[in-house]
Amino acid sequence: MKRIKRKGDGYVIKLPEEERELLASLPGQLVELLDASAGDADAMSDPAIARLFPDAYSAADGDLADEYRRLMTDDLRDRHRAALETLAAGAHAERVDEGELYAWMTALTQLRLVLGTRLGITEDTIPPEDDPAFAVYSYLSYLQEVIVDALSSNR
Amino acid sequence: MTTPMIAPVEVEQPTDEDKPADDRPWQVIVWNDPINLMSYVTFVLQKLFGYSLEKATKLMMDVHTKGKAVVSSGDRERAELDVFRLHEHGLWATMEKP
Repeated sequence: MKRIKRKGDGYVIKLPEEERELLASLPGQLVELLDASAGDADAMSDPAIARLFPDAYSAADGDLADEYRRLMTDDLRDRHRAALETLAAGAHAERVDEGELYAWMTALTQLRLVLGTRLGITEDTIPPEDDPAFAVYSYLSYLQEVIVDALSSNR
Repeated sequence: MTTPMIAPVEVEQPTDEDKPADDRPWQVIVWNDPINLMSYVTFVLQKLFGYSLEKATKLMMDVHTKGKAVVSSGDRERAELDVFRLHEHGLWATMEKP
């Protein structure tokens, strides 16, 4: 039985309770970090948060780059927060619509980027066994694959 | 048309400086990162730009193996919007003039 399966206009979610608990609680932790970063010039010195707000221009020190960051950072934070809140709110749902599942996918991306940066993930990282943080990271990766697969499936 | 056979003719090639800067489109580049999944990157490129699975997969593989790929180009506003949407999806994207 697929854990996430397209049915009609939506998707049926079949996840064990402990996984749902994780998906309900993790996003809130990141939302707190995001909210704390608002208006905090030092927040970007945290590589994990900075990874969610990359420079828009390859030449990162130009006026255009500064202007973009000044104008767009709040919008980007709002988008990140909205996706995370959609995941947390729907974590116990039996069924979600396509927009909600899409938000789950981008929320999982934010969580994986922050956790992966904190864990120092590289292309060559072999997750150690019995490490709880790596186990969460691996689970989020697995669920991400499941969701991409479900969203890619034909109606 | 003939090809000069003896001495190559010195032709002054136009350089970028000869054109108004605005004529050159901005390029939006996605850079490799060790966290985003290959399947996810491919899916996002299809969704955001309407690329076929084949084209999105090729771009993703360029990112993965060459370290980066140009995924779109256009005027500054268009490029900034594309960069924003890529950042919203957690991809490491920047824009530049080639």
